[in-house]
Amino acid sequence: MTDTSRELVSAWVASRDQGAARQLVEALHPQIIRIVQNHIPRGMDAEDLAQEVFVQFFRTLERYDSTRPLENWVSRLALNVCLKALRTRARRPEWRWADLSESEQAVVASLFHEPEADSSQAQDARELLTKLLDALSPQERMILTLLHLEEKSVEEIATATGWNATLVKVRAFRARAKMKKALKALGEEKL
Amino acid sequence: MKRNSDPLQKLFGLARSARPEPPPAGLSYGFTTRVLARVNEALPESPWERLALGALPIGAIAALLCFFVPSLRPHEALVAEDLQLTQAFIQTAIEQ
Repeated sequence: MTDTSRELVSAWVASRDQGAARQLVEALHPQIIRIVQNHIPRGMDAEDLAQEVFVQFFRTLERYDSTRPLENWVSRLALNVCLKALRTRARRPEWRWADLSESEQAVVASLFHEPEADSSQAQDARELLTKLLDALSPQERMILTLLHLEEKSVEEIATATGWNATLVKVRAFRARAKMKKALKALGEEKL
Repeated sequence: MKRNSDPLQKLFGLARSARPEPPPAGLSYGFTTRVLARVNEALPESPWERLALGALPIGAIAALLCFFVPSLRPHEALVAEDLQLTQAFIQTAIEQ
């Protein structure tokens, strides 16, 4: 944590300095909005969720251990808020072939029948992946997003979420198995 | 480039290469003000405010006791004491 950040945090904790709070919001907004955009449930506004993260941040700042990086504290807070938001959404049942758009169907077909991925389908692949992730539990969805989309290591995920590394690996394994099964079902349905 | 035959890994690889949604350019208008309004509303009062609010009912009870306790003393004792006080004041005024 930089000296400036440390001073701002101290100013807020000591006297709820509004000026310090404004500077903290401006400094932390890029990190928080990036996390929220990657994990936000579909249909929810990123800015609303980012506001919720900041409210939790200032409410719990008294408990922050200044010997640890502020970025880690913020990451964990943001992920927990996203997790809570994901839990409020009903899990989507498994997608059927008819639920997919034509371009998503084309992605499924090429995944099973083409030797190499077609980069022009990247955006559609992202949409398809989001749909498949919707069928997972919030924790499973978050772990696979961190592991395979953001390419974080297991240790980084453990630090960011507060879960131990073994739990992260077990959840990732189970989540991948579910997604493979769902994807295979789509591929077979197409035939 | 290593060919990945696992459909799920291919899907993740493709999704990663998708153009990410651009982050908003800076804070939206009034974002910080809205955040601070919610924060200030959500947070409990400062310790001093809590102390003052907590002391209020105690102060009110003390005031009421001061008002009512004298009235609990026997009437004759009150009157006698008042008379003594009055006499003392008059005597003091005369002597001066």
